[in-house]
Formats: sequence, structure tokens, C-alpha cells
Amino acid sequence: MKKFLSLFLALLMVLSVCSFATAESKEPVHLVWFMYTASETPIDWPEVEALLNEYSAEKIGVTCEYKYMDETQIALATQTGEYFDIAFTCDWWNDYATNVAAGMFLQLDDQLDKVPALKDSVLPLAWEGAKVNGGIYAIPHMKDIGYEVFWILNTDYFLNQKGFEKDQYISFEGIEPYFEAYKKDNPDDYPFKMSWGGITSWQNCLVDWLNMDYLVGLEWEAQGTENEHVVKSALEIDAWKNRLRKIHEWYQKGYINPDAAVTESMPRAQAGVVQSGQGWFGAETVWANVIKQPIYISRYDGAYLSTSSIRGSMTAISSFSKYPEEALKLVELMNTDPWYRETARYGIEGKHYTRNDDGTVTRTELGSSNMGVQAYAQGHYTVGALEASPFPEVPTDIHQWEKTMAGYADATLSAAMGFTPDLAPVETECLAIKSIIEEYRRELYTGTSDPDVVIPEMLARMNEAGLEKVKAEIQAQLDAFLAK
Amino acid sequence: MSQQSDSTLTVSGSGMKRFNSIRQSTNIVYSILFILLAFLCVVPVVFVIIISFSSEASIGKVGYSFIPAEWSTDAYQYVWHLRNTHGIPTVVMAFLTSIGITVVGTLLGLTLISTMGYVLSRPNFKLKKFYTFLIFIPMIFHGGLLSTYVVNTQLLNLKNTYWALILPLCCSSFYVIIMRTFFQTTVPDEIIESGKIDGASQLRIFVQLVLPISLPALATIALFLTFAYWNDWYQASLYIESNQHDLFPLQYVLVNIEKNIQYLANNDMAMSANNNALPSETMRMAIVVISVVPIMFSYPFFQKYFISGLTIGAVKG
Amino acid sequence: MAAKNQKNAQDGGKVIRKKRRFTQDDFQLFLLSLPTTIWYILFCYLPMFGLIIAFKKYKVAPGKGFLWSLFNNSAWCGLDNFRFLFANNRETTINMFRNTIGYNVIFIILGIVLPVTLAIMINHLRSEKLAKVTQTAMFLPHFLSWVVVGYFVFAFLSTDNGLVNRVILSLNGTPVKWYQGEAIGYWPWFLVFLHMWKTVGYSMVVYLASIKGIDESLYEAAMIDGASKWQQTRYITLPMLKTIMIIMFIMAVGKIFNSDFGLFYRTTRNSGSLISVYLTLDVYVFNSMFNNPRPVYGYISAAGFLQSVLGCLTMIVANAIVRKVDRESALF
Repeated sequence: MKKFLSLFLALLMVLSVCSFATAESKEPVHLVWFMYTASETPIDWPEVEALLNEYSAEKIGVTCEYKYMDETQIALATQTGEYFDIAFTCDWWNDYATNVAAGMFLQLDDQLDKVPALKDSVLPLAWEGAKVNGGIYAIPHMKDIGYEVFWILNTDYFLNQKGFEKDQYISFEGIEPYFEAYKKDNPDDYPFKMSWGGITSWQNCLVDWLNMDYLVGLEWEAQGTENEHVVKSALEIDAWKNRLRKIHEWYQKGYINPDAAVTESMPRAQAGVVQSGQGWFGAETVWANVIKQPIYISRYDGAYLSTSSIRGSMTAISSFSKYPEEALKLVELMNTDPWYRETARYGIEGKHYTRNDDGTVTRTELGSSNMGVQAYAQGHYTVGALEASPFPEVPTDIHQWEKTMAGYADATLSAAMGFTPDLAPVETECLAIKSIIEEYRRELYTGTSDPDVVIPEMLARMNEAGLEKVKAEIQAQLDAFLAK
Repeated sequence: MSQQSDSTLTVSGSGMKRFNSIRQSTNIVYSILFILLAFLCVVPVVFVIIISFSSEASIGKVGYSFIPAEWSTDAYQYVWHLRNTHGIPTVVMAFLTSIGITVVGTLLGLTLISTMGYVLSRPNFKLKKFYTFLIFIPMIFHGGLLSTYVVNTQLLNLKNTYWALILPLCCSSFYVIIMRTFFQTTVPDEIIESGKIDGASQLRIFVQLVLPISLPALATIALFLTFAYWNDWYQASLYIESNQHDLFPLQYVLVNIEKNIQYLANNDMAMSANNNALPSETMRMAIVVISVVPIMFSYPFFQKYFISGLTIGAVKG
Repeated sequence: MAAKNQKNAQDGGKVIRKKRRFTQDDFQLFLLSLPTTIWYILFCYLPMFGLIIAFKKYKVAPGKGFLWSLFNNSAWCGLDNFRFLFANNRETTINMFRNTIGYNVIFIILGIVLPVTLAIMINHLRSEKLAKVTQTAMFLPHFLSWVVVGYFVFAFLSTDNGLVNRVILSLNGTPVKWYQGEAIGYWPWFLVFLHMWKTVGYSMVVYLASIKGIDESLYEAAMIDGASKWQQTRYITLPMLKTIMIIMFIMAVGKIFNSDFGLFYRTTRNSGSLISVYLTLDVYVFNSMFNNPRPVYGYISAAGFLQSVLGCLTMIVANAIVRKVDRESALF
């Protein structure tokens, strides 16, 4: 009996050593991930990456090299055929639609069943927005995927000093009394300061974008009518024109800074008591962090969901990746594993951030200066801890994402969800139109020029440059898409 | 009263020069003119320096002004506190990198440009026409960004090296032509002839006879090269990956700081990463000062070659 | 070369026998210029194949390199890519070319006359110290990038807080909205002034160095002969500068279809209502591609190619004219 036992134990040991050995001999797969940065790789990223790789090697047998690039570098990298497995993509960086058309991204429809956690982490209707010609080529990040535009108001001035009521849904025009109040007290100052971009996201709930650069889309207001699928230029949509007239009125009344059209940037910290921003209920902590004052928010537009709103931030796998399955597994890890997500977003616990009792985190000074990543470009916001607010008056709502995602159930959906126009046949006309838009855009959006004078002029020139041809092309494609 | 030239090799003594100078009245008019022009050029730079030492708050309220409401060194402190992984201030590292690149690049460029300029200036050179076209065509036609990028990274493997920052900029047809013209007009044939008679090779003639009397020209090209290297950041943005912090030249670091300021000012989501109040306007100017002031101090070194240059004394006697 | 000699020799004196043998000198010169030649081949001629992008619709093939994509995946499209430059209405296109060439003509002329004049004058200053100091000062604008100059100009011309408007207000005038349509007449002057301000100190250097290279004894001899300063300048300095002036002129002419983008874009802050006075070819290309996440390399390449070809033609014409007049000073 003893002999048998010892033999059995010996066998067990040998077996375990063998399996151990074989597990060890399997090298982790090495991947490359193209990530977005405004300027450079965060300084402490190498040590964070080492930690991340240790974790992912153990969990899924994968390590990853993150390459941070700006617009020029990513364009050069992708256009000259540099190898990558995973990449951030959206419609303003590493353009999604163009890359899909060029065949750069892997079609994910069949692959998603292999990563059920990832599949479930994305809102079902968000998958529609990521589709091009019926196929899914990227994973949308769960953040504010709908257009919801807010007024950002200074708590101290409006609630405390002026005694306004806290209203969660002030309309666009309804903000005027707030302007008036401020202007009366400060005749030489401006309540609504902006840079040459104009009011952030002011037009997204007026035009259902098919292409924002060239100002073509459907009319949101026309939904439910027979015109809901008519492709128009924004310049032909009344709601768009009316709002610009309003902005011009405000400019003339002195609510907007006169040099807005030539002001390159207006940091939020200096922009004054009324501001506007694209966000979600819960974003007030982010804005309070930026503006450095307690603020409250009030939604005037939204929530509208469309293909372009969903494409704000996505992750794609390259079609020539040597390890597509492993790559997907890594993307799943990033978007479902709280520890991985938090480390990629905030850094090393204790060094770059500390954890608070209520579940939020606070960055340390080192974390702020050496771990400045663009978290939305990495993955979902819905995973991992949120940052604490610096102001007790503007506390962080740790359930904000659940609420926001639930809120999208009531959102208005685009009539062209899942449709991406291919503009290659009318490229030349589009560029000409773009240059016309660039000429007028800044003065128009800041209310400096008179819309009733400028818009007809723009329209005439755009028609000369081939606007009708562009619209016809998109309309034909849209009709074909809807017929399916 | 005229002053002694600083150069010690003036052939004709100061007496002749004084005798041959312009009338005092004309001198006064010229002097006033140049003082005005100098003033016009200096004022903006002084302005930039003043703004860089203002407080961000006073800029926000009053805008730029010559006498700021509040002084502060915030902008400089912020830049100084940016450190790399070893704790060395980023600007110091970048500064040293830039100096290295500039010196090596200028010397290399001078060699390449002056040799070609000399060769092109020799009237009897059989390949002269061929070479002239060789350098003429790239002056007009460029392959473009994509192909240059591919050649430099995939063929020459220059990515993430100092050479990527030095080599593409070290030569330019424009400078070669200027150099050629200098050699043609200011180097007398007798010197070359006398060298040949003495049995010297072209290389020796070039180095020992021609170069010493061409110092104004060399100083000019060296000046242009130095400033081209010092001011360049584009090469770094293309060829140095964003995690190679230690390879960044100074301008690139400063441009990145600027880009960050822009980005943070225009993008809300980014701000949650950085809680520090950025002195953005003043920092822009501080960046300019940091990049300009050091190189400005190098200027007098070049200047002495074309204000009080060495004259051609060697030909006489 | 050797074969050609043979032929000449065998022609038996029919051809005027020039010494065509490759001499020892030639070989040494060849060696001397070799490093530079290698540089040109590696950094200028190798990438030159990129010119064909102007005539192709470049499409990257996933997983394959640049060369494969360029030669196997991108279709030839003739002059299609050039169309976008003329896609706007006639008025804008004409305006664009008019601005590009018009400003350049002014810049070229002033860009030679002013620095030469100033170089000669500064050389005459009795006080060398003054000369050095002012010349250093005049070089300073070169250090400021157009971005910074743009901020500086904004500080002056801002409607609200700008220094100019504040002065006007204090003199009881009406402030001007400098960046909008009403001030459009001033901007061509501003742009010319700013360009000269930034470049004069820099350009002066080339001419100063040339003047320094002129033998002092020539001036002494002239003075002894009774020549006035003006006569000395006219008969000694200017002729000696003639060649370099002409070379600079021809090379500048070669860039007549390019423009100083920073000047036109940054100082005007790309203000829409002023565009008719600063729209050049480069500004137009930039505006079309601005913030475009899908840069169409074919268009950029086509624009550059057009500028190159036109500039080349202009340069050859200018050079030919110069050759007729003064063969020595020609570029080639």
C-alpha cells in the first residue's frame, strides 16, 4: 500500500511539474496597440505598462506594447503599412470609415461570441452605430455615446447671488435671462465667452450628421415625416439657421466676446459664468475639475443617438493582425477587468492615485503630471472606479454611468443608424466645400457675421462647387442602405 | 569718431579707414535710422519676455500689456518641474540634446556644403554641368512626406536615432549655391593657381588656401544651419516615437507643451487627468523665451565674421 | 569620357580639339564632392519617386508596405488630383493665384533691395559697436515663429483689449474691428510690413558677408582717385554684389508659387472675412486638409508638384534672361 501511495504521489508530482513546465514554455503573445495622445507618451507609462503586462500575461497569455501617437504620426504609420494589432479609432483620429473602406480593420461579427463579456459590456444599440455596410469593425467605448448638450452654470453666481432656481432642463433660448442678469451687473464683461469653435456641440441635435466636416446630414426634426430620409446640407435646415440667428442676436447684444472668431482657445477656467458642453448627467464633476469652481449643469439638447455620436471613440483590430483572437481577448480585458482598466487609466495605486472610501479615486500630484492619458481613448468609462470631485458641492455620482446608459433607452435614434456614406467618388467636391466652410465657419458660429447674409452666400458657392452632386451621391447610397 | 576694428588682421590701418568714411552728418542720419529699426525689432521680443513673467490672472483680465498688473514666475516654474523618469528636468535634457545635434549638424553641414560649393565654383571641372543639375533639381522637386518618411525609416533605419534629426537637414541646395557664388566672386584665381604651381592637391588648396579667406561665407552658412537645427521640431515629430523622451530636442519638448496646453484648453475629458492650473498664456511666452534666449547669445560669435570680418590680406605682397 | 576623346582624335582635326580628358584635378574634385553627392542621392533622389503620388490615387493595402501599396494598389489617375485646386469658383481661384504671385513679386523685389541697401549703410556706420548691436537687434524677429508673431499682432489689433484700439479710444476715436471686413484694406500693407520686418535682418547677413569679402584696397584706390562714397558704392560695392543679388533673385523666383504659410495664416488668425487678401495656394491647400483625418496625399502631392513645375519654369526663364545679359551671374 505504501509503495502504491508513494508511486502515486511521485506520478502526481511528475505530472504537475510537466504541466507547469509546459505552461511556462508557452510564451505570452506580444501585441502592438496604437493609442492616442495629444503630444507624447505619459512619462511614467513604461512602468505602468510593465505592470499591466505582468497581469495580462498571467491572465490571458498576452503582453502589449502601447504606442502613443498624434494625428500626424498615426496617419504616417497606417498609410505606410506599419504593423499593429489593435488601434484606437474614431471619426477625428485614424478615421474609422476610411480605414474600413481600405480593409484595415477586422470584421468582428463572428468573433464577438468568443468574448462574451466584451460583447455584453457594450449597449446593444451601440453596435448599430459601429456598423459599416452591415458589419461591425470596431468596439464602441461606453462613454457619452449620445448627443446631450448642457449649459454649465456658475453655482455661486446664479444660485447663491442671483437667486435663480436650479433648473435641470433650461432650453437653448431659455438661457437669456441668465445672460441679462450678468450683463446688467457687468456691462463691460461677457457672460458667454468662446473661442473660434463657437458653442461646443451646439449643432449636433439639429442635424443628424452623415458627415460633419462637410455639413451634410438628415434633419432631426423631420423624423416621423416623409422627409426623414432626405439628405440635406445643414444650411438648408431651418432649425440650424434659426439657432445661428439667435447666436448672432446674442453677439449683437454683447453677450459674446467680440473677438471670438479670432480667439484660438478659451480655456474653461477663464470662460466665464455660462458655458456649454457635450456630456452626460454626472459630467459636472469633470467640468468642476476643469473650471475650478462649483458649477451645476442643465441639459438643453438631447439625448440623441446616431452613427456619428457613437463613433466618438472605438477600438479596432487590424485585419492583418497575426493574433486576432488574443488581441480581442486583450480588448476584453481592458474593457471588463476593473484592475486593468484602473491601472491603465490612473496608474499605480499609491503612487499615482489613492483610493477613497466611497469607491472613487483621487490622483496624486505625480499622477496628474506623469500619467496624463486620454482615458476615453483606452476603453469604457463604465468599468473601474471614477475620479472624486474636488468640490463637495459637486459630488461624484458613482452610479452616473448606469443612469446614463439607462437614459439612452429614451433617446431619439437616428433615422440612418448604421449608415456610413462613402465619399470617395465626390472627394474633390467635398474638399472644395470644406474650404468654403472654413472661410465662414468661425465668424458664423460665434455670431460675428449675420447668418441671413452669409448663409445664402455660402450656399451659392457650395452649389457651384458641387453640393448637389455630393447630396445626390449620399442620397443614392442611403436609399440603397435602407432598402436592405 | 570711428572706432578700431576688432579684427587684428586689417591690412589697411585704421587711419585710411577713418579718412575714407562717410560724413558725420550722414553718419548721424544712418545711426538714427538703425536705432529705430533695432527698436522696432527688439520691442516684440521684450514684450514676449515681459508677458512670460506676468501672472496668468492678470493676462486673463487685462490681456497682454507692457506693464503687467502682476509679476510671477509661474510659467517657468511649471516648465522646470517637468521631469523625466530619472528626475532630471525635461528641458535640461532637451537642451543638451539640442546643443549636441546643432553642433554636429552644423559642422557636418558646413563640410558637405562648402565642399560642393567649391567644386561647383571651379570653372574647368568636367562634371560641373552635371553637378549643377544634380543640386538644382531637389531644390524644386520634392518626393513628398510619405516617400521621404518611408526611405528614412524603412530603408535607412533612422527612426528613433539622433541621425534622423541631423542628416535630413544638414545640406541644402540653396546654401550650396550661395557658397558657390561666394567662392566664385571672392576667391581670386591667383590663389588657386599658386597652389597648383606649388603642387598641392585640390583638397589641400581647398582646406589651406580657400577656406581661411572665406570665413564670412562659412560663418553665414554656419549661422543659418545653427538656427535651422535649433528651431527644428518637425523632424522629431516624425522620426522620434513619443515614448523616447530622452531623444527629444528642445523645440520639440516646447512644442509638445504647447500642444498639451491647446488640447487641455479645448477638450474637457482630458482635464480629469491633470488637476494643476496651467498658466497657459504666459507659458506660451515662457516657451519662446526658453528657446530663443540661449541661441541669441550665440549670435555675436557668428557676427564678428561679417561685421568686423577678416579681410583678404593674404593676397598682397 | 574616354570614348569621346577617341572619337575626337579620330575625327582628325575636324573638331576643334578641346582638352576633354578627365584630369587629375577633376578626379580630386570628384572625390571632394563625393560625400555631398551621396547625401543628395540618399535624401533627395531616393524619395523622389514619391512624385508619382500626384498622379495616382494612393490606397494603402492592409498588411503590405508602402511600396507595395503604391505600385500595386494605387491606380493612375492622370491629372485628376490637380482638379481640386481649381474646384472653387473662378473668382476664388484667380484670387488665389493673384495673391500668391502678387505678394511674392513684392517680397522678392523688396527682399533684395532693402537688405542690400541696409547692408551697405550699416557697413558705413562709423561706430562698429552700434553696427553690431543694431544688426543683432534686427536679426531677432527671425527667432520668433509666426505663431508668436500672431499673438503679438493680436495684442495690438484685438478689438477689445488691443493696444491700437486703446490708443484710438484715448484719442476719442472709434475703435476699428481689425480682424473683420471693415479693415480689409489695411491688411496687404500689414502683411508686407510683417514679412519684411521678419526677414530683413536675416537676409542682410548674406549681403554683409559678401561686402566683407570685397578687398579694402579697392576702396582706398578709388578714394585716392577722388571718388565720393556714393561713387565708390556704385562702382565697387554694387558690381561686386551683383552676382549674389542675381542668384538670390533667381532662386526666389523659383519659389514664386509657394508662400510663407505662417505669415498668411497665423497673423490674420485665419479670419474668414479677410480671406480674399491672404488666400494663397498654400493657405487653400491647408484649409482643405485642415483637421481632415483622411489626408488625401494625392492632392497634397499634386499641389506641391504644380508649385514645383511652375516655379521651375519661371526660374528657367529668369535664368535665360540673365544669361543673355550677364552670363557670369546666371545660376546655370
